[in-house]
Amino acid sequence: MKNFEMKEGLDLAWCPGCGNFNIRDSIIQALQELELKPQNVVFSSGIGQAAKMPQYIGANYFNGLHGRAMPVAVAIKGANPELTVIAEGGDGDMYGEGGNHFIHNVRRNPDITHLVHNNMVYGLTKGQASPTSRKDFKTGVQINGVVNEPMNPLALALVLGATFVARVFSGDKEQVKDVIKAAIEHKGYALVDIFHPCVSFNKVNTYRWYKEHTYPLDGSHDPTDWNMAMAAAMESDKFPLGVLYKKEGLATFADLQPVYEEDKTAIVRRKRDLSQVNQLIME
Amino acid sequence: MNQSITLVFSGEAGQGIQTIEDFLMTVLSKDYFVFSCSDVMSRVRGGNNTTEIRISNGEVSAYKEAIDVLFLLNDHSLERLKSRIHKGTILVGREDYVDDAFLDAFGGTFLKYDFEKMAKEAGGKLFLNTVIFGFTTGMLNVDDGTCKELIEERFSSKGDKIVQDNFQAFDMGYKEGKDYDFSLSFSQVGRLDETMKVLNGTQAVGIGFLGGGCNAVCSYPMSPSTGVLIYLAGKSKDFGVLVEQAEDEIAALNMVLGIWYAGGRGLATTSGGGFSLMEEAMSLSGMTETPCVVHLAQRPGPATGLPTRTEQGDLLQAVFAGHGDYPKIILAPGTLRDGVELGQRAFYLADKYQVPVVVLTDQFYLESIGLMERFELDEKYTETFIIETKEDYLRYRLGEGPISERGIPGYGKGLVKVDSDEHDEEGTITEDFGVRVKMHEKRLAKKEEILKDYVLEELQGDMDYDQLVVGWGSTYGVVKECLETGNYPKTGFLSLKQLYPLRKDLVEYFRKAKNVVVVENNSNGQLAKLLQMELGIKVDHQVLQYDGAPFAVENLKARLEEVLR
Repeated sequence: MKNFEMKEGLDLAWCPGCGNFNIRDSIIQALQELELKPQNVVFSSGIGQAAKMPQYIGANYFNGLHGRAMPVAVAIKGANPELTVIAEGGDGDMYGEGGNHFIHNVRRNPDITHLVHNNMVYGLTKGQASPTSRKDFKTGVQINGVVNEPMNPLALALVLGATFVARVFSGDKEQVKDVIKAAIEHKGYALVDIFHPCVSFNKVNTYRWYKEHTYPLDGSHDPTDWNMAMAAAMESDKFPLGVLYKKEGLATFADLQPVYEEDKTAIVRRKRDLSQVNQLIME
Repeated sequence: MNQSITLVFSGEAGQGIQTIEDFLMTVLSKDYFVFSCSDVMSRVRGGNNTTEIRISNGEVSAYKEAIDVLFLLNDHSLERLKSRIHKGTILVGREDYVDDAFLDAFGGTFLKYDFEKMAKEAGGKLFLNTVIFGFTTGMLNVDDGTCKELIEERFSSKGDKIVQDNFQAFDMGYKEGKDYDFSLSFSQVGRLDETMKVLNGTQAVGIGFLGGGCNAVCSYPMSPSTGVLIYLAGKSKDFGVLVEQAEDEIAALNMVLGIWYAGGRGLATTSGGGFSLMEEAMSLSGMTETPCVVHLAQRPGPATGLPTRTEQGDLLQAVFAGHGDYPKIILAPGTLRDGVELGQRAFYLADKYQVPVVVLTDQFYLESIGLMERFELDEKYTETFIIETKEDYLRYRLGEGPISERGIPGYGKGLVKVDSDEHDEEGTITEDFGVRVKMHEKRLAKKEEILKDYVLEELQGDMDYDQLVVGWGSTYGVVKECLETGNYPKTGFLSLKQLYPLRKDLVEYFRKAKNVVVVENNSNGQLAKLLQMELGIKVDHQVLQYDGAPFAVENLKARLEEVLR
């Protein structure tokens, strides 16, 4: 059995035809190609079908609460910068319930990879609008169709200073794998918004819809040009796929912590000297 | 019998009363037992704030209402403090701060000094606190050399000119204070600084947390808990503490769980409102068996309540924190030493039992300054419980008792999988009813293990009591002083330091007592309810106060007299 794969006969909770199967294959292949040790890879996830992903990958995971994967991931990386940390969840989990954490953790530029499965619907709760649902999308709750503007996670991340912003479509496993590899290798915060269909609860944004409404960025796109990235992020007639933006060399969350200023040893491996504390009482 | 004198400084926020408090506490604590506490309005400038300093020839750690010397630093101070003045009170301040009608009725001493004018002569308004520091130490006959050493120490980094100007301001005040012949009716204890340390509750728990190996603090600022965040941030480099100001309390405690999961020792410090937001993550800590420590600094609620005042109103919130049943530990320091010791123990217990631990304090405890006998922390509580994992590691292995070995990512050959859903031994989601019951019972069984490490209660007073006064947390000092100075026959004082879980043997204390009185700084009698709920203890009388102020010695004495024989 290769690293990150698990024993046969896993009981996967996803519907037949779900885009999550493809994403799983891409993640596992990305991790294998990067030759990472499973012991040093940690997934942090929340709640939802996408957030179940770590259950089906042979690595460490902290599968916590709805919307809370980001703060946990950032803290894990802060406590032990030697680990490879991936936060993973769906659009409801990461952009809805976890919206505040999304905003503020982009600002921190933690060295983590943020994978968001974006199917524009709440699948686990059986088909309500998500923050990325398109206008006029009808559900049992939004009976006249969605009236709110859809959230634009890529533009938002760019405005907040994200150092790696990408969008992929789960129908293209190779592209998903390559972009995830680049995101993990990127030093700093890396958002990968993954379009994929919810075959059970979103009858509008189907495989075919995504095929028809996306196009791959080509060599004319310069991912180091923020204005160009922003222009691409704002496109919504057809959504561009690929790495929209990439800025190297910025200090990360852990780099800027006073605790790591002089001593780079992970705090989890440092030993506290009690006599130093006693001195606080004696002085 | 201990004797004491109570000085109160009353003025506006921004006038430097805290500096006066800091300076006086530092010099007076060399020769006397001292205690100080503040009443602060929730505003950055203006309002009316007071600081009370009690000087004594014996241990003192409680708020007293009657004022012996009152320093008025503005024209509206007196109005709020009229009820705390008695015939013997000495008023000190500018002539126009006290109106004639009041003065006639008062009939006591009014020392008219224009400190503002003296400060201006010394170089400006900024010197007001130094002038008053000089006056007070002159009045109390404190050695001026000692005072000047302190001034030099505090101001030397700002340059020699600042030090000299402050000396001048100090001398102006000192000379006037000396002129007023005021001598304490009790003598100096002397050389206390050799064995005692001056500190406030915030520093006490802060030192304790460091002693417990705390190496990360993730919090959202909220009074009165922020002091601990600031204290630890100040120690960040020297003690290796990662500090993050989270976007909200929800993020804060989730971050703390991430820290512990990765192998660190994280702390969240918050107040009641913030803790409400953390409850979801408390429950997550319980389910995933990821340890965490939360410092919950109480203030009056509900909602925003009285942001700068004190109350013990969050005990039951802590006990019932989060959804679902899971074990937790709640500790509440009463003395400064408790703060240091329980701060350390919190981390030890969290790590050992893989549960959330709440350290409950309050505004009065954190911001009061007192003396603590110096001591060394116990090495025993620095033990850590993380294991190096083997290839077949299972995070939630059954059949080994309630505590499964805890691994961390990247240390050993195993994988560490934790899940907020009900999970199997490996940490995989399960809906198997049988596994659910086994896992749930494994978690709940920790309660009995935790009780083996119970943080012992303290009994004082008459050991052959038939009346028992019970208290917790910051009421320790005031109950102690009331019982020591009042006349209550056959009365014991039981103070609890671990409030959850409660050990069953506590009932023995109550069996002996014919009259049980519980003293609490809340409206609901939360400890009394907990004693009833957990141990079936019947309480005869409850003495409660919930106006936002701590119990005053005089008031509590009067209330105890009603219920004690």
